[in-house]
Amino acid sequence: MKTREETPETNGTAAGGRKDWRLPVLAGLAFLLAVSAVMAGLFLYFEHANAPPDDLWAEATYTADPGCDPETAECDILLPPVPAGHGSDGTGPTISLVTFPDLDDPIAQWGRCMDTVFACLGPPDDASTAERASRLRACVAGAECPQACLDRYAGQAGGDLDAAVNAFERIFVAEDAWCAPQQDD
Amino acid sequence: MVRTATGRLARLKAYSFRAARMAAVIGIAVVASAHDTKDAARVGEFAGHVADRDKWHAIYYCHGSTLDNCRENEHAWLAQTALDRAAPGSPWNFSADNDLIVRDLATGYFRPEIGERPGSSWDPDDVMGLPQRRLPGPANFAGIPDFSYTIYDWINRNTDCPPAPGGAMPGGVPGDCHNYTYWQGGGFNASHFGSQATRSYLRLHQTALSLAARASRLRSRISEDPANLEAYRDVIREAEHQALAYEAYAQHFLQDRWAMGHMFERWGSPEYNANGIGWDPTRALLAGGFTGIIHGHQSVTHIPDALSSPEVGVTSTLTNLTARALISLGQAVGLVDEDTEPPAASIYIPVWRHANEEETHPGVGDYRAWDMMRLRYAARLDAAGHLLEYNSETALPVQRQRRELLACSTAGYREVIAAFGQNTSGYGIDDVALSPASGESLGIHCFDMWATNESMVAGMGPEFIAAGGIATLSQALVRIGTYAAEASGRGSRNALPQELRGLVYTRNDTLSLTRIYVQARLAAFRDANGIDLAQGGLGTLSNIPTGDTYPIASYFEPADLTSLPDSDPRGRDAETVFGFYNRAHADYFCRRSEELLQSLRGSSEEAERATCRMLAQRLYEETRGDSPDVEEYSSVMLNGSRERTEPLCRLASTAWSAPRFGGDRIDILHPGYVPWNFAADESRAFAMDDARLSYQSVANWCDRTPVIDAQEEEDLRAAGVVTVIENTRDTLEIRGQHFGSTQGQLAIGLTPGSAIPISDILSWTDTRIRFRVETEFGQLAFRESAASVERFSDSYVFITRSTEAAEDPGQASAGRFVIRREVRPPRLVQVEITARGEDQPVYFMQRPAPTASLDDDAGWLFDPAAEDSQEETETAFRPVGPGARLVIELTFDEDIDRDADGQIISLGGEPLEGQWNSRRHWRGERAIPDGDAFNALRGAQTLEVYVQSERGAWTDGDPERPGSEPDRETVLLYDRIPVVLESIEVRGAGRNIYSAVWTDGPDYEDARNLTLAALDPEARTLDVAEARAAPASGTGQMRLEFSTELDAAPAIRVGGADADVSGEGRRWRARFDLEEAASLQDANGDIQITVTLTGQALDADPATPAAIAPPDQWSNRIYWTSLDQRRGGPDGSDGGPDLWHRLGEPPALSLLVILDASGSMGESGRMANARSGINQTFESLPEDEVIEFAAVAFQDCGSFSTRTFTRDADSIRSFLTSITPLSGTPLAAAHDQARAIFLSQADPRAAEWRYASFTDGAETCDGNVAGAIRNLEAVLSRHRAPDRSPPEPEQAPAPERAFDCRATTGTGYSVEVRDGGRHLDRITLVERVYLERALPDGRCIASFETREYGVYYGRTRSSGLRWGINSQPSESQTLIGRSSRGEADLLRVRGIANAAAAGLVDLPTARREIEQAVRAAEPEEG
Repeated sequence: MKTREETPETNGTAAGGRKDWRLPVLAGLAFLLAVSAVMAGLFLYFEHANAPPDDLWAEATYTADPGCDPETAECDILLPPVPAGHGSDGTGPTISLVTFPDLDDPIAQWGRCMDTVFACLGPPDDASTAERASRLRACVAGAECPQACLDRYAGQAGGDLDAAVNAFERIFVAEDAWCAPQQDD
Repeated sequence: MVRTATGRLARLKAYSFRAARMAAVIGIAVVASAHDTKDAARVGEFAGHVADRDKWHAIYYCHGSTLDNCRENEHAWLAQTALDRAAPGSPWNFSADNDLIVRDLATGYFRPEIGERPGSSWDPDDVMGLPQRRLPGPANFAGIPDFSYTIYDWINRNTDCPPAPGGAMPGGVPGDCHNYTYWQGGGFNASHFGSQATRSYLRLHQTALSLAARASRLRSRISEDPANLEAYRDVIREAEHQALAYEAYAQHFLQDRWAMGHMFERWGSPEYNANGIGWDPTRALLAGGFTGIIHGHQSVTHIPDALSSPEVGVTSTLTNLTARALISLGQAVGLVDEDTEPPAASIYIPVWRHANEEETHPGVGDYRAWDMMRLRYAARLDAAGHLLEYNSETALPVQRQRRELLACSTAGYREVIAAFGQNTSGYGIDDVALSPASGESLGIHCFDMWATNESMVAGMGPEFIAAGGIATLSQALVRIGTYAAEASGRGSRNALPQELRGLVYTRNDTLSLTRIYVQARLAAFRDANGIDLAQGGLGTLSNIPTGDTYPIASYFEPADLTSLPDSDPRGRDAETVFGFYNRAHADYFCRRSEELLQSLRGSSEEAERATCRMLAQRLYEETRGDSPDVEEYSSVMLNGSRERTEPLCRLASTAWSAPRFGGDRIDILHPGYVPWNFAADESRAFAMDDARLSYQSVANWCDRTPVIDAQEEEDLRAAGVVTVIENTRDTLEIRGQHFGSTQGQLAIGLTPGSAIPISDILSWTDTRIRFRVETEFGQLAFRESAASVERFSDSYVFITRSTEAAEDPGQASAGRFVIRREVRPPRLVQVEITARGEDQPVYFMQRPAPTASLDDDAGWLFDPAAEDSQEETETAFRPVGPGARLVIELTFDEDIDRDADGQIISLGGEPLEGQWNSRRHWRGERAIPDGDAFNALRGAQTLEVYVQSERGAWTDGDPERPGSEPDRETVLLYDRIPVVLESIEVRGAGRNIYSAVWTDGPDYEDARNLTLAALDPEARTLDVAEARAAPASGTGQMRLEFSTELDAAPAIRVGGADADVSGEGRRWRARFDLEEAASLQDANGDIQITVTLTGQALDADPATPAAIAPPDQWSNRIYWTSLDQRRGGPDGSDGGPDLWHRLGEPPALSLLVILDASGSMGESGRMANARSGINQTFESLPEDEVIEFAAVAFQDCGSFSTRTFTRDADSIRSFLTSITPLSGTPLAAAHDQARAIFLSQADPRAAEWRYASFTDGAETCDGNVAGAIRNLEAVLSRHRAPDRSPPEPEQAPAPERAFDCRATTGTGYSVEVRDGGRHLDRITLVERVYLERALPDGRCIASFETREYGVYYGRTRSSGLRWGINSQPSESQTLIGRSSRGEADLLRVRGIANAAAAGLVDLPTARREIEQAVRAAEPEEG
């Protein structure tokens, strides 16, 4: 019959006979950390590689005055004040749009870009889908947009109308579009 | 020119921004016009209700109107159009055939702060503070979502805002949630677009269907009984109205879903705090504002815009306007033809399509509903009252939109109406017929319409479609301000909520907005007829998703309204919805009735009182009156008769039972709540309260008027007796409810106004009052009740509780609470006054047992009819002569307190000496003086009696007047009987020359009662047996006999001689000188005999016998009728001389002529004929006979000319022939006149009395001609001619055997017990009454009556052994014996009565025997 005093101690085990597991766990965590760091690095690399360049949109040279007086050259009325709802007696809230012709921030640049595309496209008509796809690609190619955007679209625009439209939407229109200004936080 | 979508947008590029801006400015500048329920609240008669809180009035915009006059209220108009298609001819229209009035408990009771807001001119007057409103037709409710977010919001008059999670509220003021330019337009209006509209409709349509099914169940239960149906027809109507109103309210969303400008998913949620909006109203306005731009700005600018209306090219509009102006100018100066039309404008009609179809269809927006219906279009601009039409009527190809919208809308109504359930030939309570379905159904095709991408882009506005539009937009900022500030820069922004003033959205918002435009353009480019944009493809607007991503508005009513909570701070609760439609939801209030009514009862607030009445009436079933006087029940008048109905609560709720309210039940009402009309002494059962909300009894229950419980004994309960006064000194107790916790006022009397307050209140609690009435007893008024076994009289108790409240409407009791007086005032039931030594009593009166008609009515003594009915009562009334010694005996019906202070027994104002022989019998005497002292007393002497019974009641001489007072009904006449010269015999020269005797007439000595009523004296007739001319000389002798003994010798004068008179008593003799007598003769040669008395009244005209007149006619010392002062003369107090007898040759004939001188006799020579006849009559009379004549001529009703008898024929003839005809024909009265003349004036010695009548016509003065002639001829026929032969002595009649008639009355009782087995003993109280009376004509009558009264008995746990005697006999038998049928007949009845008398006991003893018998029967509890 063995007694406690008779139990031999084993290397790698803690005093009292328990096995020490801490070393393998720490080693595993270190490995995972290293893998994650590599993955993040790759992600950031590809992200950076896909992101538009910082100078895609030019710096704004004009600061708009939100409280400007309408009907001036600086602050023109785009949408006259309209009561924000039915049946107003003229004393309730109105919504109006004032526009600043000299405003050239990225949103204005993007707007002009889009405007040139749609001015080229014209209103809906009875043209075939292929013809419309072709027209879209052509109009984008001739639009007043950053060249990087045009290049990117040219590289991704598909042959049929859906593909052309989807690429346009993805690159120029969507909230996270490569060639659209992002919302300020 | 009409164009539709594809390929037309290019044309729009031509529009310039400036033109668009100008158009918008024009639109803003013009006066807003009414096109929609949104706008209806601010125009016309609604102009005073523009505040959001008052827009709820707009539901009445089309109320009472016609369909054609209401098409500008598009939602209501469309709803009514569809309803009429579903159910043509239904009563549900703008001018409702069934006027339904609601008394609104939602704002009147549950939220009175809302109801207290001022009403309006089209609201009927409030009822007791409850708003009362006439329900508009159901279709009117289609307008609600434009000014209230739900029906319960409308009911609450737009006071609250939608409930938000956690009860939180956004910024701004609560009214902003009804502001279309704020939360309502920016946020809640999202439910009107795309799939939100679909879900909103479907939810509320389910609510309508659920309500319709509920109305069907209600009708099914109510219709089982015709009376219930009649009573509660409007309850069912209200339930059906509510279902239809909810359907109309739902159809607003269906209609919007079909409007071109709503066929897309707009941004935002119909809720507060939605994702992307939060509590920020500016975010909601951003979503709402740009939704509005797509929807079309016609609602704002009044310029036709793409999706709200076919869009008219602005350039064309301006051209058109200019052209119109020029054309008008040209026409004015004559340069332009009258028929010249302005150029047509180009218009653009957007298109839509079903999701599963490729074909597109033109569609119009919600401002063109009327144009859609007529398929024609003419854009209009309303400017300052002038209508400018700036393009011509143009065909509008929107048939598909019209057809499908109406089909879907109609199908919605069809489903609801069908759910009302089949009636006879149609559906619902009004048996409304549904039109054939015509393929209408509520399928997916009603909800999958979407605007095409191209149309969406068109809706966004031409300014952004044109070149440069997107670029310009991307350079813009969105600002919120006021119109004035934004348009001119001069306006104040202070009008805006703080958080909106000068707000400028961020560039992020511009980016989001521009991106949406780009996406729209791109989608339209890819697929112009696609619907992906409309179906949510617009994406988020500044992080605000489209409406399809949100759930249905949480503030909408649930599909099943019964799941609403009782109360919610925002009004989404049963108290609001059911409080308004409270009849239709009677079941809800019935379930809560105990809680609600407990709090409502006793309120002094008018609205709460009204609410209590309304709700309580629905529980009320009946008042189980133990007395039929107060029986009342829930009822309705059906076919002219009152029919019982069930309480509405029982019909509205299954397995419902009424709460008991601590025993003060409303379903089975305490009889004391039924009001009593004390002035008319009749119940006011079934009377409605003044506000006509309930029976007055129910209103009294609500007001907690004091009610007193009736006594438990059956007979007392039946009479509503609350307490019984058996002794005035007893302590009385009444029990009931609502007396008040502190002492109020208790009064007793026959009416509230005359009731006497009781001062001796011993204790007073809310349910019990103890008091004594001894102090006021003598002042209390009681009303005698019908005779019964036990006599009683009743009065009423009135309670007014004390209250500290400023107002306590139910303070005074309203019902009938009887206090019974079984301690009666002692009644003088017999008065017997005799004069010592005289056979006949002076006065005898025995009051009969009290009855409703005769009790305490002394008039019967002088009323022949009454006396006839009292044939068993031996009355007597003779004058009291001088020197009489009267013995006065009085008998009372109660034991008298002989020592009571204040008793009065007097005669002629002088107390009578006497004593009490027993507790009920008093005897006294009075010596009557004679001589002058008697003469001084002559006339009426009143016996005054005022005594107190041992039970404390005093004599009440006039029960009709409150309080007690002496009995003064017995009046004696101190006077002597008038004397009549009954017979006279005159001899001259040894032979009889005149003898006459009065026959017939009353016998004053034997008659007990000398009143006119008792005597009914027959006229005496003077029979003249002998009449001859008197010898010229010698001594005449005379024998006279008077009706009574004379005090002194009469004075007799014969012609010119005074007679020597001797004799005594009644018989006298006289001697006179014939020659001296003949010295004075009258015109006829007759010698007048004049007899005069001194100190005694001599009836001068025995033909009309004297009788005692009714005391109320005694005046001027005249106490007798027909005590004539002279023959045929007026009555006097002392009579007059007898002038009836004359000596001389008697006439052969007394002839009276009656001449009709009425108007008709003046016609056709009739009067001339009559005169001729009169002349012939007179001429044909024998000249050798002595004839006397009289005449009666009549000319008009009541107009007579008479001539009494005379032997001067010429004077009568002259009189008759001089009469001129005049007017009416009183034929009967003329004969009466003639009869009177014969009786009083005709010579009784005449051999014959005759009359002749000359008349041509019929009675015209309402007389009885036949009767008058008969009476006249009877007088003539009784007249006898003098007989010269001496009369045979009359054979004296055999004396009748005198019956031993005993004036006696006896009553006794016995108790019979018949063993019917255990607990079945039959106990009977037998009452036997024997009565024997001598009648005035000497007859004797006996009656023996046996009555059996059943005894009821039993035992209860609470009160032990109980028994009582029925008030009405179950058996009754009467034996009558009459001496007129022989003595044996009388003795037979007397013998039976004597035999039965053995073993009889008095009533108290009998009652004790009954109690023993009841105990012996050992009744079980039950």
